[in-house]
Amino acid sequence: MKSFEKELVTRFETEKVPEPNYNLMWKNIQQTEKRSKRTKQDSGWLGIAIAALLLLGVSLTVGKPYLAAASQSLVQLIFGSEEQVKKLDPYASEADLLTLEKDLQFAKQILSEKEWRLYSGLLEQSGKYMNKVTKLENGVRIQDFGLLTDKEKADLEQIHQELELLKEKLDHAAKLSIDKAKSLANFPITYPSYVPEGYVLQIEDAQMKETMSTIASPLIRLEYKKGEYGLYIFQSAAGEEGQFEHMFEQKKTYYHDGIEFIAGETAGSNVSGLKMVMPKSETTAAYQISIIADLLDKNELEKILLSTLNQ
Amino acid sequence: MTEKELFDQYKTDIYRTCYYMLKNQQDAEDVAHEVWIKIFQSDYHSIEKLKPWILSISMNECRNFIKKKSRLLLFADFSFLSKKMGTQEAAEHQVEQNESKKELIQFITMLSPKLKEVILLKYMHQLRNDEVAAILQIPLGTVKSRSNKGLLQLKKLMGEQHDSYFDREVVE
Repeated sequence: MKSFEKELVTRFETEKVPEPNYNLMWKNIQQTEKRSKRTKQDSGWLGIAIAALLLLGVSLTVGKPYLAAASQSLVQLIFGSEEQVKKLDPYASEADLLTLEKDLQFAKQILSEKEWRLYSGLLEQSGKYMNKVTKLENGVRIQDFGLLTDKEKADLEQIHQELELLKEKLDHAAKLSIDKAKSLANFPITYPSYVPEGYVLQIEDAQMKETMSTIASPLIRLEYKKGEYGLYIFQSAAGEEGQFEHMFEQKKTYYHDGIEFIAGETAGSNVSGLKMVMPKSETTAAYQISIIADLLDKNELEKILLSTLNQ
Repeated sequence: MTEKELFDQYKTDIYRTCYYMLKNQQDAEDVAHEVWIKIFQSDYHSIEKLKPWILSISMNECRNFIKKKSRLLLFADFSFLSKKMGTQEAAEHQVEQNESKKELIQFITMLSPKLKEVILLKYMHQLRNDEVAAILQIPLGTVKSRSNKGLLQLKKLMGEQHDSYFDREVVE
């Protein structure tokens, strides 16, 4: 067994795993910290919002009304108040609450009245149990399911199974193929005819964005990779906030051949970003294409963006 | 130590821990991100033994993620920021790659989370049993029994599914 243990250590030391882009990771961490400190409203980072939701504990009987008072948010309706969330999850920011509210709005929009009542009820019941098992130790959130009785554990499992079924419906409603996105978008969805040598398209997908708005609009992502380095292209209706807006605090607008460009500026990082805003035309709504990339300079990003117009 | 210095020193430890626990690059990146936020929101300057503390947070976040992912995912993910879109495809691609290479992670993944935690801390991070016990907040005896059980399972898995696994690697 000793030799096997040594071999195991060696394997761990030498085995290669897919490495992340640590520069981008560091940049994202910094941005998250800044957003958290500012408590500025934004629409990203769903993870903590989900965590916030799961920590909630509010009594519930049979779900929430389908028609809520206009002044009352769904977060308030289901969980009592935003303060309730913040009390139970110290990491929940205003932005997370906003995202949570949007997600609940989306669920309400997609689900039938009967499903919504079930969904909201299950969420609250789940929250009640999660509240019971969650505690903070040295600033770290810990979930100890051993605090539940066997019956409670079984109830919770049942709740989550039922939620999972409804989640599948929501997932299905939110995800789009590129072709479907093209049919729904009122702006052109294009691929760049130029990308720097070595970059390969690895992921292309789309989802509906801003489901609270009366007209939902798709957001498209193309991800190219060259080894560990990435090139991310996002396309959406003009004015949508996304990765580009969140990542770059300093932005500089300039015009090239009459087209508006917004350059994201960073200090001490090799991550660069550029957004191109196309005005409304007779046939399309105004739209925007943004790029975030490692190692590429502004001129290169501009060349990529302009190549999306040559189709 | 500045945040950047701390990040540079432990970024690989955290990411690799998450990767072996979750077996998916995108998930590992997301959880590693959460780990770093928690670290920076804490008073890490006052922590004497940073690595065990950091690994403790990493393990907790991985556990929470596994629980959430397996049972508590309630919403569709609309956030491009999180880069989770395409995870399915990426995961499938990754699994294919891993299978063809017969990487250690394939065997680690087959262990239960409890055994996996102990194996990773002992053999990837090369911590002593008492350190593992402190990080996981379990008795020393439990560490030993889980470690033995994990080793036996790994040995069996490697032996059964990949004859002369290590021998073959040495020959290459």
